[in-house]
Amino acid sequence: MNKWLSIAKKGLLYSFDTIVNSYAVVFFSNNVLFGLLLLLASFIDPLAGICGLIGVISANVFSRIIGLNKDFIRKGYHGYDAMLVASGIAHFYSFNQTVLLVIICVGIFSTLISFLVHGILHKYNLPTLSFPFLISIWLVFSAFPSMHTMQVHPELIYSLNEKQKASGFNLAHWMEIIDQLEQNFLQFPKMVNVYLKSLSSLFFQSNVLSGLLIALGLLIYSRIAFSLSILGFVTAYFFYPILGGDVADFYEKFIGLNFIFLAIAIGGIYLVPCFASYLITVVLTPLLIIILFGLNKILYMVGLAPYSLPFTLLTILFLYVLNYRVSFKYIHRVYHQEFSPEKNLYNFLNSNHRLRLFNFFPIHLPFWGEWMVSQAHDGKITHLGEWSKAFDFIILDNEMKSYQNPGQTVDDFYCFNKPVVACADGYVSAIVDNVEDNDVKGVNTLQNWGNSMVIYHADGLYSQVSHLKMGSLKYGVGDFVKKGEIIAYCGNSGRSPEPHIHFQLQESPFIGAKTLDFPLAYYIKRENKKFSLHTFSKPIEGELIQGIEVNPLLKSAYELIPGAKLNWKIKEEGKELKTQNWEVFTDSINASYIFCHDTKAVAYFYNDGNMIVFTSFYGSKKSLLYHFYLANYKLALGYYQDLIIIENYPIATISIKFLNFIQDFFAPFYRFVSANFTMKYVFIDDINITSEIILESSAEIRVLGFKSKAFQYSTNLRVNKINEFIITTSKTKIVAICENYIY
Amino acid sequence: MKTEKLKYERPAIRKMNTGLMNKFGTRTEYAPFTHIDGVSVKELINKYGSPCFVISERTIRKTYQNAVRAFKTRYPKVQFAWSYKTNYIDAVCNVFHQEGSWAEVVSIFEYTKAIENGVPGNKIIFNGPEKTKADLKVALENNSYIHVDHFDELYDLIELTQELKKTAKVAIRVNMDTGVYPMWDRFGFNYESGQAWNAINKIMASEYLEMVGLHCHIGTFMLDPNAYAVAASKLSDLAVNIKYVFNKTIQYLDLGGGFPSANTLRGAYLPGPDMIPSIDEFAEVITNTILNYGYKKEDLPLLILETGRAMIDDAGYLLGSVIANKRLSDGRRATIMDFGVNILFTAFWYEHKITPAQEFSSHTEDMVIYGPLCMNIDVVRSSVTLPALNRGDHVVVHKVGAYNMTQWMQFIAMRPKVTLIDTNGNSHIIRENETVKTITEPERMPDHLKTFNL
Repeated sequence: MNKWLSIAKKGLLYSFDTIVNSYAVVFFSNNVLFGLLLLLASFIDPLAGICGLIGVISANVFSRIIGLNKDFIRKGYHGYDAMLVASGIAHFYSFNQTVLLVIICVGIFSTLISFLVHGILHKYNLPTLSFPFLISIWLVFSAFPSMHTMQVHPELIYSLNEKQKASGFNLAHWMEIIDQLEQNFLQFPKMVNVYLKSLSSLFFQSNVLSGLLIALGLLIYSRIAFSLSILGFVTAYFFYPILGGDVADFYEKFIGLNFIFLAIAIGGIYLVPCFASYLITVVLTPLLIIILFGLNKILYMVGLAPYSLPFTLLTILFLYVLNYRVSFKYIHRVYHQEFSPEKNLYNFLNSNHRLRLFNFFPIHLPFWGEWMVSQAHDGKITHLGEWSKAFDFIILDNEMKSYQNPGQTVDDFYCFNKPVVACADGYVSAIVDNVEDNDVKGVNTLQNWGNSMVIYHADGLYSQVSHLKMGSLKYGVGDFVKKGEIIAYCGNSGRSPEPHIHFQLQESPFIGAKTLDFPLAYYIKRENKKFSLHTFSKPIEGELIQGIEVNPLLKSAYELIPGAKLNWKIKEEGKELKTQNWEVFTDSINASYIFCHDTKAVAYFYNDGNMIVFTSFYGSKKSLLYHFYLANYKLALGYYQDLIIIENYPIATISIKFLNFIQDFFAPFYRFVSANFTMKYVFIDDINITSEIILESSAEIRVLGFKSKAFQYSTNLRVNKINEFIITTSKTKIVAICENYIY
Repeated sequence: MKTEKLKYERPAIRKMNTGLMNKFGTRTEYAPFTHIDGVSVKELINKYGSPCFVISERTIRKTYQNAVRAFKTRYPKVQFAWSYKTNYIDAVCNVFHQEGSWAEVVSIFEYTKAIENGVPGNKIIFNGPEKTKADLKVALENNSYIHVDHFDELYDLIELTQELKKTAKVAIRVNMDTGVYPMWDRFGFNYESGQAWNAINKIMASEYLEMVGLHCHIGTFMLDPNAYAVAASKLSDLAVNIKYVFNKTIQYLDLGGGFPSANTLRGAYLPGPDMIPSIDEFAEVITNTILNYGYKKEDLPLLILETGRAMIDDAGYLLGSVIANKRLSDGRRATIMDFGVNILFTAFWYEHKITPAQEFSSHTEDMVIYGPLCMNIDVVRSSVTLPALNRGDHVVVHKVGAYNMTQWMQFIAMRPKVTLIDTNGNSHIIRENETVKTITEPERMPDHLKTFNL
């Protein structure tokens, strides 16, 4: 019985989601509340509302029957076009059996057509937008004149009311109430009125109340989207009369929404919201008006209206062209769509600084120990033209000399004959191993690259090391090499007056190919005795760098493999002893997370053996896991005394809700709330044979630069595990001891 | 311009001595050695007296960093441990500890010194054949690495850990045939006979012993780097077997020391600097052997080196003065210095380079250098070509940093000051000279011997 109940509950929840999301997704959202408000707004005209709902259901049921992706249906991808078309039909035609049949058919048709459009556009990394809706609505509207059972409202809404009166349902009364309401309570300046009516034109309505509901939903869903909708609208409101139009068209011809959609799509959904994206929105709006006029004229000839076609065309055109740009300085496309401008923005900020590891193939340094960058990208000596994105490395002593004794033979140079290791896993694709090493100051310009090895790492990503010692290459073409494995020894062959390693990344498998501007995954830079960690960046000339030397204790303590269990005993002054039990899982896309059985909190993390990075947290902010997530936000698995790692948290996961709400409005330009993470490597008993490490970290929220909230953490690692985790706030101190750590 | 008065050189009649063919000729190859790290020798002697040891902090650091670089650029995990017996003057030890060196000690005396210098217990390697139960207990409590030398010590340790219910971190010292003879088989457990494996089995079977490392020390002043390749491969063989049989990863291989300094051994044909392999050559064979032995990458052991002599010898100087000149019966010249084998113990096996500390003429003569002791054995150099030196002239003996300040004797004369020139060129006394009180203080006089009448 219970089983059936739970299945029914699940089914109901699923159906609810499919419907609500089909509404929300119109505004690129997946916010349930927004979806509900949209649903409500569509029911301001109850018949149109019902028709829309039927459209959604028919599309979703059809999609489910033919076996389309369940999750996509749930997200509303298949329902929204049907809903919009159905609303349109209900607006223009009086309701009868034929209309019902047509709506159901249109639901199916729009699903089919949306797949076709998606199939075509997706290849170019472009969204589908309104195309399925437009094709469907034009098709049915063109079909209707030949369907004599369809009856157009002579005077639209009012005549509809009379028809309804005749059929016994008093809709006129309802519409009167709405009218009264608008006249008595919802009196706004003209511009606001037009704005709200434009919004309501989504459902082919032109009333302030439903516009108000949609605006409210938009505000709840996203402050950025809300402000963008106003920006787009106001710009259009200003330019439209200048270009010779009448703003009444916005709601009478249902075209006002074009400006709002364009602003949201370009300003915050497909581009990361920022000053440039706002500016582009403003610039594109007058263009959109002209496109609109043009399309209006063209489509009028076949008796159709453009609806959302102008916005769809312009957005797709713009995004298509963006695919071909070569400079990425000001405008950033959203690659992982979060369906919220805020999330897109915060994710972008986060990933730009912290999670770059998800964007690049990790390439490590091709040596052990500390070397100096003697020539970096665009070096003045030999890193020129097409070969400018390369590095040269040498070894220096404390006096910054690269050789001992008089430095007259290559053996005097510290780097000569030192191991060169593979920078990442891959297959050897080209080698040269028979060029004699030069004497010091001798240069072999005929065999420029000297002894070299090119390794294939991924399609279009090869690495090359050059000037190797003759006869020192350990692998031949086709061999597989593992990251960190010795592949050869540093030499002085080719165009190399003194021993050094030349290291470059390239797109093709040939020795001496054009270089590729690609960052190095991780390295530690040393200035005097101060270490700093650099992730996915490019060292510059003169820097002393080394790869992360992984510490076995750090590695094993954070080896949170699926199935690992951590049982915590939590002591807080004046409170009862608590226990919380964690377990590590992986999800379907192989992302690892810690799940707390007691609080149901979830913290996602990423561990690649060099770094551990916590990516997101869901659940109670009172749980121990929440603090663990904050405390271990980013961690290099090598120990460097007094190394400090500084990061920003995505503000939403730590800050105060109200402050976030306010900040969202300004976030694309200026963020006055910041949440800072600091990690310090405080203590190690021994760097080589380690049995204890203490890490101290802190999480701080700053509002306009002033500290408003702070947590101090201390993590103690001992005997291959996380031993103790201490949380200190201004009010209390919590000591959590890891009782059990089971793999 | 200040012109210096030409130095007076007394006339001497020299026997024509063609001797053996010598491509270096009879002329001394030395220039006067007037300054150490920019500090004048004369000034040092005026300030601290003669004789006096001088240690260059700059040279220590440079030599150490050079050695570390030689290994660390070839191998990912390297640790040096300062061999206390080579020079355990606290200031010297601390220079090494500042550079990141652990302590390697061979007696409870050295152990205590290391602890008092502030070396954490878990960074002390306790070697040597003599460790009493009490010594072991101290090491155990401090969580130091105990390198077991023989079975009797092993049994003591097993007993002790069971009593205290505390786990000891142990390694065994292994001796082996590396092709260098005589074999140093008096220390540790033999590899070839299976004794070492036997000891490992006993350790692995004991509840409170954790096998953390393997240690060997194949000799001293080793001139053949390949011997270390043999040693590294034999230790690796044990480590890999331990992993295979017991599934226990050995945390470190301690290859000991024994790297030579640039001193010239007595009887060697070529001078030291031309003969000894560089530290890079040792690093090359050791790291290559381990890297290519077939460890899994994550199981690569830490490489510990306890090299002493090669680290400190170059940094030590002995300053002295001429007491007298004389002619021996065979006509050879003899020069008597104010330092002898009592403080320059290494004179027994090195032909120390001795350089005058002031300008000298081009006339040189083969001579014997004697110390001040009234003992026949007190010969610093039996034959050296030097210019004629006058009473009161200063000389500098080079490369005396290793083993002298630990093996010196208070015999006939007292031991002089040891000074250190820091990296900024300031000199410091790091050990005061002995006085009569130093010697007599520990002495006790029975009542009946307190008085006498002469």
